[in-house]
Amino acid sequence: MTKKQAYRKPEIKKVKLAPQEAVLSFCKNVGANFRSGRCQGDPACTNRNTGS
Amino acid sequence: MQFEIGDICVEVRNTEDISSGALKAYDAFRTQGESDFVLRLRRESCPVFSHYRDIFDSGGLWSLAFSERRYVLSCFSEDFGSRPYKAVVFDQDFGGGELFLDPDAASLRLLDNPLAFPLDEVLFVQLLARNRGLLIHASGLGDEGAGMIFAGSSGAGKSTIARLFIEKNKSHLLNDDRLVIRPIQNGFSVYGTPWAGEIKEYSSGHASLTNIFFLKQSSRNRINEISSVEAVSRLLSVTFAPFWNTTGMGFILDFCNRIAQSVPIAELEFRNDESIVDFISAVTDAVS
Repeated sequence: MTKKQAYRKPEIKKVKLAPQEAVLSFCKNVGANFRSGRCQGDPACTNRNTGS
Repeated sequence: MQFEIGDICVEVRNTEDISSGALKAYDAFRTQGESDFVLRLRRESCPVFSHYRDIFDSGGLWSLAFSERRYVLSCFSEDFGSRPYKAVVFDQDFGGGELFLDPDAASLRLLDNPLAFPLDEVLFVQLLARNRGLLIHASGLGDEGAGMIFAGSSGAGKSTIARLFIEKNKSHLLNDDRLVIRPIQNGFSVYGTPWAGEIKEYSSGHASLTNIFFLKQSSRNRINEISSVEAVSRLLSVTFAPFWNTTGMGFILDFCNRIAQSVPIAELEFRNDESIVDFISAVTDAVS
């Protein structure tokens, strides 16, 4: 017969999230202030999402 | 046009009027074969989906709506006003979808590459979450078939450490910002993607995943062990997860747990100089 194990409270760990990054909410090629949809990045960028 | 990222093949139809240069990011990933997903391009304004329920808003750039087992992904730009400049209506079986490209957005160069951010990455988050794997915010290197991942948010040093390895010719770069992890027999494989960060180079190659390091810039090089609970939670914090999909989130949670059970995961304090390259090589050689 297996011995019943005592209840152990699950370990809870808080980790830092970067919400804008986590939801793909800004283009990595234009920097953290990107909100407007206006690309300010590399003019040769092939991942461009707006004209500049 | 077909391309394959993380062993997932996407076919894009009706691309005749798209310049080859606009799609060059996918050149290294071109393939031929059976597709997992077929995207059919339509040069029409995006339909209005009034009966759809909004299920996720990224905060401006894109949103998801859902109705009758169909997702609609809409992409927005301030330059184009409040209506989407492109939208994907996914097929019910998720084997494909219609990509509507609003002709009025063409002059704004919003449609040069119809798949451009955020569409391609959100599409792959969706495809991976269907029991395939995950997209992670990390840089990755392959060395004779062995793959290392360096994870962290922006500014953590993902590109820096990748550059240090490349300069010492120690490894080849899979990608310095986005990687795909998928299960293989007896472990996991890490794949390059076309979605680069600071280093505009990437590879369509893959490697067997041997180590994951969470980066912490420091004045010394040091490995800090972390618990499996912390490993899973930190993996989640750098995973692009399908927050809108309960089933998909369940899969991602389980997948992160499986990775943490079988792949060594640690925090890596590192000094921004070439000493980290030999340090990592010594650490990984010692445990292999």
